[in-house]
Amino acid sequence: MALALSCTREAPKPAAPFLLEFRMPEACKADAQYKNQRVFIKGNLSYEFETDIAGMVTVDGLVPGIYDIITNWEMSGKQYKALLKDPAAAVEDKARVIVGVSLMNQRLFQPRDMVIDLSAAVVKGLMISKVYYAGTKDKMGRNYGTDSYVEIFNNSDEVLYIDGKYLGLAEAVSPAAYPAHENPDSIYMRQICKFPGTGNDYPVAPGGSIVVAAKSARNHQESADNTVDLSRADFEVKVIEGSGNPDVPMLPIISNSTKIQTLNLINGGLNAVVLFETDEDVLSWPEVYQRGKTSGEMFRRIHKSVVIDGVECLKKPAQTDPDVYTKRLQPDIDAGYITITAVNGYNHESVDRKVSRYENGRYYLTDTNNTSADFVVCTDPTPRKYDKEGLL
Amino acid sequence: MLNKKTGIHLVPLAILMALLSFGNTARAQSRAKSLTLQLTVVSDTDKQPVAGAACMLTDYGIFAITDADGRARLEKVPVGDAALSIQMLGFEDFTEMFRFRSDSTFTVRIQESTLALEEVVVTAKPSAAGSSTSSNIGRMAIDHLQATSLKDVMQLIPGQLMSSSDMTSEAKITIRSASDNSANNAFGTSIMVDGVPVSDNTSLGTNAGTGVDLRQISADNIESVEVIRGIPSAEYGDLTSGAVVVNTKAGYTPFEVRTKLNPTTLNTSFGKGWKFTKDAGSLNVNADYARASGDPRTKNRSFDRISGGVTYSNTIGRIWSSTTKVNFSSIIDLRTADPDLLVEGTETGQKQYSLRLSHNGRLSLNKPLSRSLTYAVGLTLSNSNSWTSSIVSADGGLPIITSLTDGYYQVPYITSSYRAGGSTVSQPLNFFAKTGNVFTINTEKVKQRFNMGAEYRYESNKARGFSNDDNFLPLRPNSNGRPRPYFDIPALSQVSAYLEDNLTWELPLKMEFKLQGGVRFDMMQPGLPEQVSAFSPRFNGSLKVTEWLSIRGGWGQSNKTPGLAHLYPEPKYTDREAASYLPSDVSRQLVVYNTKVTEVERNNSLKNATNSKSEIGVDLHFKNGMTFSVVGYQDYLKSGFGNFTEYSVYYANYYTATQGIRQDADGMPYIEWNNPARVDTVFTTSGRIGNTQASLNRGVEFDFNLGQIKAIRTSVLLSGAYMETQTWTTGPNYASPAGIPASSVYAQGGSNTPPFKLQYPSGVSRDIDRRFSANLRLVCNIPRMKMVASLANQVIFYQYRHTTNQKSDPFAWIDTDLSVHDITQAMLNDPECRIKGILLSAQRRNPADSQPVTQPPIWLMNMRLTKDVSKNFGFSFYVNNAFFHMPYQSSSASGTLTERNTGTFSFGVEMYVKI
Repeated sequence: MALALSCTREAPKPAAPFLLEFRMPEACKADAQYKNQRVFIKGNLSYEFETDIAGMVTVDGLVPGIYDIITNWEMSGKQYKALLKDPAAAVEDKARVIVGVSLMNQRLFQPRDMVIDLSAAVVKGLMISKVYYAGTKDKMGRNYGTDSYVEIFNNSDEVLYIDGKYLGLAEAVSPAAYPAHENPDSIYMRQICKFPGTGNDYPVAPGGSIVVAAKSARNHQESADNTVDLSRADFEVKVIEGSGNPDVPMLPIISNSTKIQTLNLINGGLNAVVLFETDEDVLSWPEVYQRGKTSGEMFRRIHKSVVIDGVECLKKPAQTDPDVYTKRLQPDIDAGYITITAVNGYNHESVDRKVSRYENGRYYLTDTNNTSADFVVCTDPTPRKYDKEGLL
Repeated sequence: MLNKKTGIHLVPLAILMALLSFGNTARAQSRAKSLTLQLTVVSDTDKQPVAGAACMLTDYGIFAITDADGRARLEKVPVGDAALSIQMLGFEDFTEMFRFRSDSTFTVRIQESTLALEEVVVTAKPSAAGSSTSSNIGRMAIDHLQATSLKDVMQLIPGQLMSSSDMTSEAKITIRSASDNSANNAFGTSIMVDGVPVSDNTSLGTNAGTGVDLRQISADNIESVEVIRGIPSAEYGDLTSGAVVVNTKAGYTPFEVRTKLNPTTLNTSFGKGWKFTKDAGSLNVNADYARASGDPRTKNRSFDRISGGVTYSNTIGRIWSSTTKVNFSSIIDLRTADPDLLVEGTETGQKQYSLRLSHNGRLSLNKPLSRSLTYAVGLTLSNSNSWTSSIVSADGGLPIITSLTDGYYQVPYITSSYRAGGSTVSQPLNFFAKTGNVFTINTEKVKQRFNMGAEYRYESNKARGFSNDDNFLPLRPNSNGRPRPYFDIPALSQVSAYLEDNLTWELPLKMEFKLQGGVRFDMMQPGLPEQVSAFSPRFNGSLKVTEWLSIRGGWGQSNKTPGLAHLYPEPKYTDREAASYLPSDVSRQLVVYNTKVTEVERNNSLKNATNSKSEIGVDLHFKNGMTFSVVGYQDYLKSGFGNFTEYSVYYANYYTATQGIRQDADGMPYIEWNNPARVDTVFTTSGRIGNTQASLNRGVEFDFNLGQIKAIRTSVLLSGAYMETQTWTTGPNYASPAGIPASSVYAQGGSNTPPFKLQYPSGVSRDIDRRFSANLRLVCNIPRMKMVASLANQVIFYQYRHTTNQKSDPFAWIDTDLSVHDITQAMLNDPECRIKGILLSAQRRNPADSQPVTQPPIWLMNMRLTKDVSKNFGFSFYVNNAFFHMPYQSSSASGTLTERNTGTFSFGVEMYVKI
């Protein structure tokens, strides 16, 4: 993509029209066009345009500024296959496919014609729907950080199984050891947990979810006011079955960069949470130190192609905006990011996926592979609750 | 140093003439003849006799105290040249060389310390050749600095940086160290007050063995301070880095009230000395109150000190002079919670009371083998109580482990944070006794003064130690929060003896050779299994080549005995979760911990910390008053105190709901002890302290007195040092292997259950600090205005810090049965070599070398002014960092700009009234 725009400090020129051309993914037929789709240009002011039949948009009357360019075309797997060069591609008819792009922080101070490549993402049924990592204050006002959890939601219309899937956290050292902008294909994990089961043991109903207590599956409301009850969590991350809450099965950590024996969601961030699936032996994948080091933590490398879903929760710096160069997830996994509002957490803020629609007694959640657009920050962390006002 | 301008006025003059003309004939008469000198000491100001002045011929060990008429009689004085020195509280020290050839009677005028003097000394004076390298700081310098505690005067020592005094944090001093990592240096600095040590040997607890907190010693009652940074005389023991010798006021002083004020500190003191009628001695009384708060914006830190003392001195029968002191001090150091942050709720405080009794004396026996006999006895009783109150965070679940013996214990599992308190009570008792004897043997060319003595110390700390306010809600509910009473900790006893010869040899061509050679023997805990002893030989020599040039050098060893905290460390508690059964029904929860107590046995092979010092220097003294001295030094502390890692191994069981935890008929869980789900092999260390910290200090110190620029009455003094400190660990260097699979039993047990431990070479990683700093002091003295102003310009030209981080390969591995196996080069070369399944090649360390960090030069300017308004009233004023120079600079390692000289800006005023 050409980013030849120069940054100048002179007074903005009057807005002049310019062209945006959206190109379908390479796998698509030459005649497939991104036609009649809505394009959002969001900044201090927001604009909405529509592509013509050739996938072109004429942007007119834009006030110069910094904008995000977002567009998505949601279609069924069947529709998507019809656009592909290879009609035998492994896309299920029922799957949902999103063709789109999220270009963040574009400096549109001058008219600039752009050619924008779109990418396609097959929307899987299982997705991370809530990440609560901030922690809270207990009844004595002290930091309380063991109430964190991750929730995985089935957004499809059929029963899916969590068996054998992996939940992991990308490395979070500072400065970033393996940020996405330097590693376009791989993610380096500090912890990987593997769900038990042989294929049909842990079903997730359509619209249902799996709650993973990251540190302790207890009713935390006994200790703190603004927190969660995890005594009915589906899994508890622990080191041995039969410890902790005996009624909650263990989610074992199979790869760990430290000796911490719980899912180490950091209260202030950064937490890049990844759900992935593979038939290969994860433990045969390489483990590496930070670049230039020969001691300390070792991170296990996974290829981004195994990822089902990823949510990038960046750390909120004290005075500035989050540094997007610390993102560990590539744009096709998560084009955006989210942060809680406190630098060090403990403000009982949860990161929740927004609801797209309510149909036939169940919720469908938004999934555009862009956490900035898909998630919101809520101050009332509650597992399995989707009828919150902020999510609608 | 001789002071020609202010020197002696011999009265009558005829005697002087007689002395000088007597020279040659006297020598011919009798070598063995000894003389009697009759002195009258009068004040130069009012010509009144001065009573109680100490008149000394140090070379011969002869001394006398003037009586009410100012008269003193020095007997059995050998014929020859000798330095006569006279010291009296409130007067300038007098030292002058004399040529004694016959019995004589003369008068010496000494000058009252006042700013009306032609030359006042407000900086440190370097020591004379042939003795330890040291700096002497007099009362005027302390006044001019407006020191509130002993720590403040250290900035006059070459190489030490200027600092603003902050009484709300502990003040410990280091000697010749450029490093922050200086606990051993501070612990090895001996503080002697009136001949009796102030000791840190009995401190216990978290901050133990890190040196004496000098805030307890008020500066206003100090008469003089000598900081010995070179090779100390064999008379000083129980030290490694150096000694600070403090003399407090005794004798007659006018009634004096001093008040210092600055934005953070208020310090008021008064003192008064009385001279009683004939032979009834003199009494000196002082009291001091200081209150300090930290940053004036956050008044949650405070420090209060009340101290006072009574000193009685007397001379009986002209030969026995003694000083008896009773001192009291009380310190209250508080750190309260910030009222805006009530929820954090942590408060710490410390109250310390101490009572010091000391008695020292000197008998002028004037016998051939005992010219003078000295003795000192001191007893210090202290009581210190430090407490902490805090809200302990339960964070989701907190086991309360309080067991004091080995075994498995069901422990309470608390899920709410709670307020807890704990306190540590210490009652150090320090007893010190010392006797010394001085005699001289003189031949025509060689004078020898023998100095010998013996010391005994008894130090204990029998007290309640650390305890929790509520043992069921402990302040630190983990491994290092167990109560520890001190009642069973043995007392320290130490015997020492020393012998030293001070030799002066007149060589041809007016050259002179001086040698101070001595040996000291210290033994601690004689007869006990942990007995430690050491010999410390020490030598200081100097050769006066010409009148203006002398060369000095020295070598010596000094030994610091370990303190209570080193000899009798706290037992180490290792607590491991054995079962954690936490169903939602709280009444059915079961948490079991395994506690393992590891004690260090008494026969603990701990040695003294031994420091080897060597130095070489040149002193130039010019007739115009300029002096230049440069000393190169090296201090190598090879066996400082530090943690010593040693492993023991034990088995710990783990029980789970699936194996080992059963439920009885009521559904209550219990443990089936012989059916663990997992058995961990645990490596645990003891709390042993060993001689595992080494440091090397080396550098060059310089001290130049460039004399006075007469036209502007300004003296120019330049001092500074280039110093380097290296610190490293010499104890065994163990590590757990990398690459233990997360799902293996070794990883499940946590961090102390590796399949084996690896041993790496020790001391490959060193912290290196270097600093080159200089301080240019301009002292302007206007006697007619009774005013002294000084400007101190400190420049740190160079500051360097580096942690070396070298390649290292393991050379042995320790199995879980503690058997040690070598790792050969062949094993290291084999990329597939595995030990118990762990890849050996992953254990080779090849770290990226860290880059040294240097700081750009930085200057700091402090200004001070002292003025006597009248005979009875005066004031001082100071501004530190007068130009508010706090630049943003970046180090060589980082582009980040950081503010420097922060916290250096301060100002204050002192007023005093003398009646």
